[in-house]
Amino acid sequence: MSEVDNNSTLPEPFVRVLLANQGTLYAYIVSLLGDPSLAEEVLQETNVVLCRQADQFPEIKDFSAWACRIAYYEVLSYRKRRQRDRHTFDDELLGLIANQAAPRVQEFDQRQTALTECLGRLSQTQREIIIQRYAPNGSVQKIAEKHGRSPGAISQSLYRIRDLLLRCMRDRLAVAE
Amino acid sequence: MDHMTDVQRVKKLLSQQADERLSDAQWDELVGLVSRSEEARDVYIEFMLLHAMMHRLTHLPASVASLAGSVKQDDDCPSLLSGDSGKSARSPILGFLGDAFAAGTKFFSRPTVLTLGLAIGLPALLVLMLVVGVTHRAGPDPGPVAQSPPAVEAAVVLRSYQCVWADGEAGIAAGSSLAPGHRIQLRKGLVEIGFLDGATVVLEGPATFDTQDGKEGFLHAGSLVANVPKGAEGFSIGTPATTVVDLGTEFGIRVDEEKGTAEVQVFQGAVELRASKVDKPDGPAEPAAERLTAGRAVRVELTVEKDAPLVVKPITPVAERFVRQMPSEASKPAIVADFSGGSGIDEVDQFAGKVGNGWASDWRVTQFGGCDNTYSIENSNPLREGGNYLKILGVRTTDAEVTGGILSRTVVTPKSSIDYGKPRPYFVVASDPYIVTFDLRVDDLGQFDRDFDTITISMGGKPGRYTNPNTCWAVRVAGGLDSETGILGRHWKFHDGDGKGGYREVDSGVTMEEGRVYNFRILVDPPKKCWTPSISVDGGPAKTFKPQGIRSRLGAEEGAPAPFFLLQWHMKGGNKGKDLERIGFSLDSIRIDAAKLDSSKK
Repeated sequence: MSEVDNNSTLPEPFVRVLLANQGTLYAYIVSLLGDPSLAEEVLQETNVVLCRQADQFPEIKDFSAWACRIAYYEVLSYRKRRQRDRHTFDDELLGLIANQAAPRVQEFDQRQTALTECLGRLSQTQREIIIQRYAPNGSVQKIAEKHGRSPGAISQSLYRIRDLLLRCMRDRLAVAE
Repeated sequence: MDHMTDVQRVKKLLSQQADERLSDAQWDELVGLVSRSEEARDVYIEFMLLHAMMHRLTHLPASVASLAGSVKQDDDCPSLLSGDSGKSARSPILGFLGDAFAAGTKFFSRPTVLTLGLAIGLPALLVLMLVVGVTHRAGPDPGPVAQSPPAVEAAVVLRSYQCVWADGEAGIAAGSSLAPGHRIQLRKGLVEIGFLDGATVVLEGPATFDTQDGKEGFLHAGSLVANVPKGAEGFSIGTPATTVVDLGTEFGIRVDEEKGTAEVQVFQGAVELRASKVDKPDGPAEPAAERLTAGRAVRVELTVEKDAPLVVKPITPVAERFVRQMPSEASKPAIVADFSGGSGIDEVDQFAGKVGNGWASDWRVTQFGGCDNTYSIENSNPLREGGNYLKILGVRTTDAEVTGGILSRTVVTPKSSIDYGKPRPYFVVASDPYIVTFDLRVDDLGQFDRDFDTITISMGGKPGRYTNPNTCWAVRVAGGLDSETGILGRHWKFHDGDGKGGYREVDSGVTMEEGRVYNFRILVDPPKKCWTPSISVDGGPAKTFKPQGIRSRLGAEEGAPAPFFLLQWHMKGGNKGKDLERIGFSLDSIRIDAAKLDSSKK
């Protein structure tokens, strides 16, 4: 453990890199936890740990990989504290996913651009449904009531829309390569 | 099963999981698929990245909410919106966003703020409109702004000090990143914010402040001091009355929310005052109207007419009106639990609460066989400070001796995963002197007449019972005479430790009685390996006792991973034939503060 100097401030280059990697870190944590809201919580905890270890920054060659590693440990720690959560992977499977996800999240910026383009290719109704689902307090039930359809039908629509987006993004990223 | 079927099945299950419609059996199926196949894991990861990006995209900053709110209120308050921006058609997507954000628009219904919200929220909304393919425009030509990528963070919280946030805000802590357009609504306290370009801002509550991007902020109300290092010149702070553009300096701004005026004072270097960009958020930079140098202060009036010249009046500079630096280490914020949030797990100060504000865990209860415990948040018949408090009732259901229950909550340490930022917002309980205060009232003593009928309050180095040798300090009361020490039953007593895990009991002479409120103050000095207790009864004068030795130093170097506050109750058995034994007590106002002790080695 490195002792913390209470009166110093974070070095500017560290802050810049940390900010630039927030999207990547967030995506990585979501891939491990499966829950965007919980991931925000763990991202904050990860940021705090990263800030505490900022003195190691000059020696870090691959910031993103280092930060993802710390995020992984934070996820493990979070899971231990939240053992009551119903749907969680065991540690072995989580480790497999963590290793596989780390290089994938490095393409976060490209993926974000691809998502922007792919959302533009959806029909108006499809866009409304997917955005309503992810809006604050959005739920399948609420969308179903708004559109006068059954929750099951909306769930099926969401599956199709996500599938469209995933395939579209994969195509876009393949072209970009 | 062929790969395509597997892949589609994984997507289907993931979609249901994302919408919280996955059964346990389906979860098991998903785990099986993802465990077996690398390709399935790839699909899982791609899906989760999409899930994450959609979540980020749609959880836009508060300034967008303000615009959505203003669009909703277009019909009601058309005069508040100037030019074309207020008269654009309400697109289906825009309308939906308005509905989605409607809950948070109360603040934005005020005329000034509404107009500001329109101006500030515009760039972010235009990004969203581009994303969803909306062609209707709610404002002037976006120009190059529309090409900006969404969700780029602008700043980070470096430190916070005794912050009280506006209702409904979860609050932010050191290390929190702030996206463009993030609105900070601070009722009280200080926050230090580091911007992407290197400038830092100390914001003093009450204040409302937006981080617009990595080199720009907007102060709606309250005061701040900006410190702009060499290389970050051009950093600017907008206000309703003027925009202050830095030329490499330190300056303070105070915005009067009611009048809209801005007082600007320069401590070092110089700044330029320009017309406010409220009405032209994306227009070209306004030419400098006034240059202000070190030692000068002015008040800028809010002008209503478009393109009116700035009205700037010199005022006497008073440096003391601004907080230029965060308080020193000696004034770290306290770690507090007074159950102000009631029952729940959404806020830190609830029961069971959640991690945050110096607590590394929620409240944990340990249940043992032979005793039924109930925990409730009450507010009638409050303890000393009033408001909510935690009420506990334990009823023994067996004739055997039982540990009734343990209530505990862990405090942050350098070794815990929930850690301090740099610089850390909290002191190190393991090694820094600190003061613990709390109120306890015994509401129902039951029989409580034997030596092992006990209540113990302690802090220790490792989770467990108070008997753990890593206990640092402990206050205890027993029902019967202690035959070894001769301490009378129902007397509060202290554990005078030897620093190596051992201890002896010391009688305080203060009797514990049903219905009385005992306020304890425990000053702990880990470097000197001692602790000093004080007790006050029913708000009377506090009696301070001589220092006791600590049982364990509770230091990081001794492997204490997680100091925790603990309350434990125990019931002696052997009263067969009598009524079931019970014990009820209430707890409130737990507070752990850093202590500045000159004699302590640091």
